[in-house]
Amino acid sequence: MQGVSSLDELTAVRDKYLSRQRGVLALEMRKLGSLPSAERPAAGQLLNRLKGVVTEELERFQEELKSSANAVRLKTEFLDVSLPGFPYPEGKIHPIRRVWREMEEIFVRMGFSVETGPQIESDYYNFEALNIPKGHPARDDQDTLYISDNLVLRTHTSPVQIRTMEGKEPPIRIIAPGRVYRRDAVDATHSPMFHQIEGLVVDEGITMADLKGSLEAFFQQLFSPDTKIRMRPSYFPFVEPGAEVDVSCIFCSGKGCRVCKGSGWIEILGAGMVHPKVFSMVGYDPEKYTGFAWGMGIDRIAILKYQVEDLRLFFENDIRFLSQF
Amino acid sequence: MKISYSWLQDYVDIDMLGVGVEEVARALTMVGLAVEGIEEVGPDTVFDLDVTTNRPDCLSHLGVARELAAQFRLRLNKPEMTALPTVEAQERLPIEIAIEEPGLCPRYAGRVLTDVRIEESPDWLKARLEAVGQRPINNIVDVTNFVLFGLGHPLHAFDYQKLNGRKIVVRRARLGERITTLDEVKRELTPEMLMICDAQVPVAVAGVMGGADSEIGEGSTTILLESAFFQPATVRSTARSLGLSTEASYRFERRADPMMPVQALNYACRLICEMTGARCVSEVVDENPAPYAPRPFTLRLSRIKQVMGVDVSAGNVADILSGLGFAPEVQGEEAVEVCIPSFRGDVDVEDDLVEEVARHVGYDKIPTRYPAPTTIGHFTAEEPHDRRIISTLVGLGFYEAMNLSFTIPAKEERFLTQVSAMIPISNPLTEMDTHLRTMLAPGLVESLRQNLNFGNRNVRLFELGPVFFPGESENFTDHREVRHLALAATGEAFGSHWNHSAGEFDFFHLKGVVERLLAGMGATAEFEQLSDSAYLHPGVAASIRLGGETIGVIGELHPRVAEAYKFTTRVLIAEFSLESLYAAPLAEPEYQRLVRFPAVERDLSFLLDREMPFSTITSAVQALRVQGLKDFRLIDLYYGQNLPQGKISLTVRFTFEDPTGTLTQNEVSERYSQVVEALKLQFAIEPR
Repeated sequence: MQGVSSLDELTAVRDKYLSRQRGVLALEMRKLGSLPSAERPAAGQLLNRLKGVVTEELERFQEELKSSANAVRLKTEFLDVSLPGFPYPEGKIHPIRRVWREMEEIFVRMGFSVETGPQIESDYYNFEALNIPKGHPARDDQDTLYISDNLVLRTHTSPVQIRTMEGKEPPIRIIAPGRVYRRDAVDATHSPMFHQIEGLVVDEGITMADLKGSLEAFFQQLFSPDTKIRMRPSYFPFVEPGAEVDVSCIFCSGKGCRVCKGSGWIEILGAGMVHPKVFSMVGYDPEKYTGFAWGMGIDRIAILKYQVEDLRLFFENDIRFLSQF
Repeated sequence: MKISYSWLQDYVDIDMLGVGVEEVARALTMVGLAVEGIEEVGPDTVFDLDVTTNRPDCLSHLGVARELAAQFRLRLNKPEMTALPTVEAQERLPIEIAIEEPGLCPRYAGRVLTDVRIEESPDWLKARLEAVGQRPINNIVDVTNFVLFGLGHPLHAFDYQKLNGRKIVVRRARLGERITTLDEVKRELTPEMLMICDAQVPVAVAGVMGGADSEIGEGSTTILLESAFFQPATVRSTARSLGLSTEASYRFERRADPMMPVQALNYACRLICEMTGARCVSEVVDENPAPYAPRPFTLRLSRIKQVMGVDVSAGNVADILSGLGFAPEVQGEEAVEVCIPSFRGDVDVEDDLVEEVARHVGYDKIPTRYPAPTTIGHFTAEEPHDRRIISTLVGLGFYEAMNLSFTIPAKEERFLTQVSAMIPISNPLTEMDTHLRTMLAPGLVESLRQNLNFGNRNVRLFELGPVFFPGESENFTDHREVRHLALAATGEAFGSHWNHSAGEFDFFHLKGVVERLLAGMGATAEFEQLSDSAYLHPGVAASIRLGGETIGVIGELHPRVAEAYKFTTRVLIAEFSLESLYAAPLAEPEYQRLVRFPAVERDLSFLLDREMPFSTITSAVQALRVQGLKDFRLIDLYYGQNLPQGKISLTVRFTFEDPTGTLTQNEVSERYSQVVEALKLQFAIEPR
């Protein structure tokens, strides 16, 4: 064993003595046959003992070698663990997608199904069927981008309400998220394209109390369990009674701060009970069924949630912005 | 709409409540007149009210006062609106009113006053107008404005002496007629526009603005006061075509009160006579060919409960509706009969009355209840696909971008050999959003450019969104909206580190992303050399094919396009349609039993013609269906000086395995040779 300093050299020594084919011991074992039968057992025992001793010695030596090799490794290998780790590239979903998903997931848990519809929509679905006939002032309020006399870029996702109700009978509990368009100049708070989530619940016995309860349950999940909502009367042609819904300010819990302009409330969506004329248009009996609907801006919620000061940032795709969400 | 607290006091004694301005503001907000600001103006307090389009009756102090009176159960004090007597017959001045378009102007009332002294208004009147942001002009104009903001009814004063023929004719404009309005603008008129004319020419645009020629001024002593009711639609369209919106048109468009013309006229006459000593020298002329008939209506208490979710007593309902002017009569236990007042054109169905009750009971009195679960929620069929794509790309280091759906043809032209048809927007707001995009790549390339401008150097973006195609029909009835996915990257490849360098993001990085993406959706695409893309480098581009159909492209941005965007680094880009990928639900994973016996690898290095696409080798190997060949992959590729002209050197690795046992050397060699021989035969490869 003198001069053996590596595992490779040790293997050579092991092969020399213990190899089953050519090892010294194997060769000696083979010679046993030529001994007189009386000597064989003793010689055999001797050889086996010798094999045992050699094997043991080799194993001991191997352990020694390994531990000294480890000792060398441990001595020489040293890293500055404060150096940066490998920068696997970062990817992020868009903040609007993030909020959109969060909202969808809450509603799906609440039994709402996600429905979609075309972005190029007919005048009928975008206006007429929603109790906004030609010449109605509400058509001005949401300045519309037209494709042709009869086709518009939908100004809300409310047409999906109509399409859904045309397709099935109550109970209905849906949300309709998606891109919507207005003829608005781009500025910090306006964009000709933004995202909306419309909701619709229709069944027997649905009241304004259910509207309040559903939205409260939603916002308590989206913001925090102590979020309160406030409804106050407002006007949208396709609901009656109509409501504007405020949530208690998520930054000051309603005490009054810069974000809520001291009021403790943040205006967040429009809602109301489905107008009986809308029900009549889709062939529902307004005496049998009642329902509520609401529409809220996904972008607006994102702006509020993350306190983004300028809507344009969402569509500039600057990765310094995107990487923050 | 600015509402003065003191002015409100004229009509309702809110101070009596002793609740303070803040509480009044809160009450207004909670009945639907959102107070968006409270401002001190001298001794007065002014509310900035957001009045919804359905409530033109609240575009006045009287209307707002009515809401407060109903809310707080106070008396509404209307001003004296009976007619003053007319002077003796011999002093009277004639005025004739003819409505030629009763459909557009159902009512027109007027009265002539004389001995009018045009002068500055008294202080109380000026203070009222200034509080609501109106500049006092002279006593007559100020009275008409006072009535407008007080009662909500627009009036107009003509200089009687300037009216030809002492006559008012309400008719449509004649072709070629013109009028110079009070704002000194000469306006061309069209026959759709309703005009107030004298015996000869238009003297006012009905419901919008008076004419300069008949304007009252310092020398005026005799005036005709006009108080009319015009159809909302006609005022609206005229105001729009003239690009003119006034306090008057704002109210007529939303529907003024058809019962108010004479009352407002009487009130104005009283004020003018009181202030200036003027005298009424004509009767109240009231052309009212089809008088407004108040509509009776029934409100069921059960409906209130059905919609609101709370019981409201008949007495309470009656009190609220009475305060709002609906003259309710309780009919037993079940219903209340009402008469819809003329100023509430918005009340049209029973639920409108439910809202009236709900508003004044207070939405905050409605309990909170979560509707019983009757449905099970589900996402869209596309959601799993979207999620898989997005999570893969985010995991691979791409940021999700969102661009607007708009573009201009010039932007897409750079990216197309042949400009495809696009859907135009017929009334675009700016020159930059005239059409709907048919591809995502231009927007994404622009976003990449922007990022470089912002100082971001390594940028990987994707966008998953709709593009729009016009179809064949001229009016776009067969247009299509298609979900596309685009990827764009430039700069360092995945991660640059002090200890590693991955080099520049190149074609194969992006191809790998697309392959991973498609594999994740259970699809395998073919990439076919593409040399005629308008925006991709002809040598570094491929079409992406799925089941024989081309779904998109991948490649390096064409140097010509890259130059147009001033890129100095390579830009890799891919865009494809997701339609066919989304056509079926994502497949469930299919479990394959693991082979428990060791796999054996054999490498093969060989020379191949450079022109030969590697995919042909792959297909050939796959076509052999060699038993137990589990994997076949390229592990090295070399082209360079030591090789014969036109050749490349490839090393591929074959992995063999057998589920039933360990393969022997002979079995492996036999299968390996089978492949090698076949490749020799088909491609004349030269093993090295």
